[in-house]
Amino acid sequence: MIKPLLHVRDLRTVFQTARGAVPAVAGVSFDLQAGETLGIVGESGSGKSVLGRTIMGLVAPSRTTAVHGTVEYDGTDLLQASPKRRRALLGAEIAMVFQDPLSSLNPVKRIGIHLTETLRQHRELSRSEARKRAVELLDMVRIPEAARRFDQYPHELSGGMRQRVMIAMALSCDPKLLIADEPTTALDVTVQRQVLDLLAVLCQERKMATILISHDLGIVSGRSDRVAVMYAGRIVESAAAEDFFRHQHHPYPRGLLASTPQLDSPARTVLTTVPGRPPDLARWRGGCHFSPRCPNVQERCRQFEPPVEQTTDGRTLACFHPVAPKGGEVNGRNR
Amino acid sequence: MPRTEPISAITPPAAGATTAPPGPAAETRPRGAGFDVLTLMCGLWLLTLAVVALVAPLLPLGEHQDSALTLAEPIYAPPDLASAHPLGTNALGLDLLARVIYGARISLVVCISAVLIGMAVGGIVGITAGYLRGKVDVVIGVLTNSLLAVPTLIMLIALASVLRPTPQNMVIALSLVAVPGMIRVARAQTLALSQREYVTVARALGARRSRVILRELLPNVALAIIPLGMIYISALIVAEASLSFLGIGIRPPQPTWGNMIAEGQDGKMEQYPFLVIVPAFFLFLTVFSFNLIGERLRKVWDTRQVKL
Repeated sequence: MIKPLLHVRDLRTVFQTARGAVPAVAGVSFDLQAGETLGIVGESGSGKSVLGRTIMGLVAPSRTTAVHGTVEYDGTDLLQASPKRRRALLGAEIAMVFQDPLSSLNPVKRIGIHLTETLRQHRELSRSEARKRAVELLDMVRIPEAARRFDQYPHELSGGMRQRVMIAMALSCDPKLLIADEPTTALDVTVQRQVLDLLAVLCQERKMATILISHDLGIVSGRSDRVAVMYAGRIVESAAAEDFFRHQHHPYPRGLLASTPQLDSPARTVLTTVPGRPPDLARWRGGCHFSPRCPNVQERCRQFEPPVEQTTDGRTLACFHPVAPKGGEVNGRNR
Repeated sequence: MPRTEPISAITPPAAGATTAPPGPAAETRPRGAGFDVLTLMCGLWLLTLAVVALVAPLLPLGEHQDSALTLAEPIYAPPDLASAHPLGTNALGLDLLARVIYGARISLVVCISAVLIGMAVGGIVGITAGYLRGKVDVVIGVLTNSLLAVPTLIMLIALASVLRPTPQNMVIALSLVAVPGMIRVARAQTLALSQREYVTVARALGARRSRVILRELLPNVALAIIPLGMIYISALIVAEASLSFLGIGIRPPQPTWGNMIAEGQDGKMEQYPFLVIVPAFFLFLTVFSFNLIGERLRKVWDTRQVKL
């Protein structure tokens, strides 16, 4: 088997709060091959953003934060690497696009400076070379009049433009891995689509591995090779995108997909929802985190937490009572 | 209901409306937030004062310091713009216009240097405390609060009893007044700003700590500190004048606005009100101008933050 580009094993990020320990990421494992796109989906508070930031090393261990597990990028353990080694990787090999383009650019710095600073840090470029490259990058993310934009301030650009600038910044040094944390949540739907398509094209052109984090299954579908669904800090189900959208074993992703509004459903159809709210992780007493909201809940679910297991068809699943596909048994699980 | 009136409601405001909110007029000619006639005049005043103070030795002014040269001059000459002493003379026959301009030299140089030192030291210390947090923050916080706990004037008087009243020592004493406030504002700004996404972005792109502080935080903190500095200049001008007035600042015959006002003591002011009015007028206008411009700067620079 090919060595994965990113190898995450049993990653845990625990925040100590006044109300108790909150395991925002509670034992996440996955592999990402070079050039592959992984879509991570989950509702607010499921830990998907913290996961992205932990991988980037932006959640620093401190008195109130504990990070355990392994994040291996191309043979380097990012969590153990020296700050210097990590800085050399971040921006150059691994880059991130953030949720909010409005606050992701420094209001007192010109657009061009944002780009040239990163370029000049990781590459030996002269001022004019960096400028030339920056204008090319702006052009690449389809910003009209790139040369003029170079000297503008962030507030002079629209939200969509700013997110394009963010993408240009992230891609400036040709990273091999891109983490896109809800890259389009702050944008309106039409712009959202343009930005996502642009991102998909650029990733494909550059054979870049991508982690696309979103709360919207619709965004992930058609844009990722694998899909992982997070709930309460764990990946409850992950599968190849095709398999995943054909059938979901875990009742949570099943509920999520069922609650997607359909354009062709008759008028005034009541939208299906997953009842209840995500659990309060600081006050959790044990058992499957989804059990209070689960339609198939049984006694065992309330007492024990189901382990994450590989199924024979290449999925991972954390459920005692998975939903069987129509007319068949659940694929035998490795015990 | 037929609607005939709204047409007039959407016509552009009259050309005379200078302070019109963003309407068609404002769109065609973008302008900074509220740079009006008053601000312009304050700016002009400060500029004139600075230029005149700078080139004072070149100007055909009367004697400002050496009373041996003014034995022949009239004393307590009332202001008369047509005479050789447009703003009058004092008890020693020294020219008030010359004294007020040379006084501006000392007051402005001393106060501006004190504020610049305060901004540099306070800014660096404040950003460090706010960004590093932890023990550094605690220590700096205690020191800042102890400095703030001592009343300004008492501290200055105490310092004056230790330091000789030279302009350099005045700068040191006055910068001690500006530093704690600057630290506080810089620290508070840093606390807020380091939560901003662009700081995370910089770190995600591999920026080291020093670069985050210098390139991401410092320019933003400076935007908050510079207007505060303007306001501190005016506060320090008053503080310096108070010390001179009390006789523990810069001593006569070297003129400062404070010791010029002090010449009106012992009933002189009732007899010759211009002795006090002339320096007080300069002091007032200057303090007012610094305050107003500081305030306007803050507003203008705030909009850039607000727009984001």
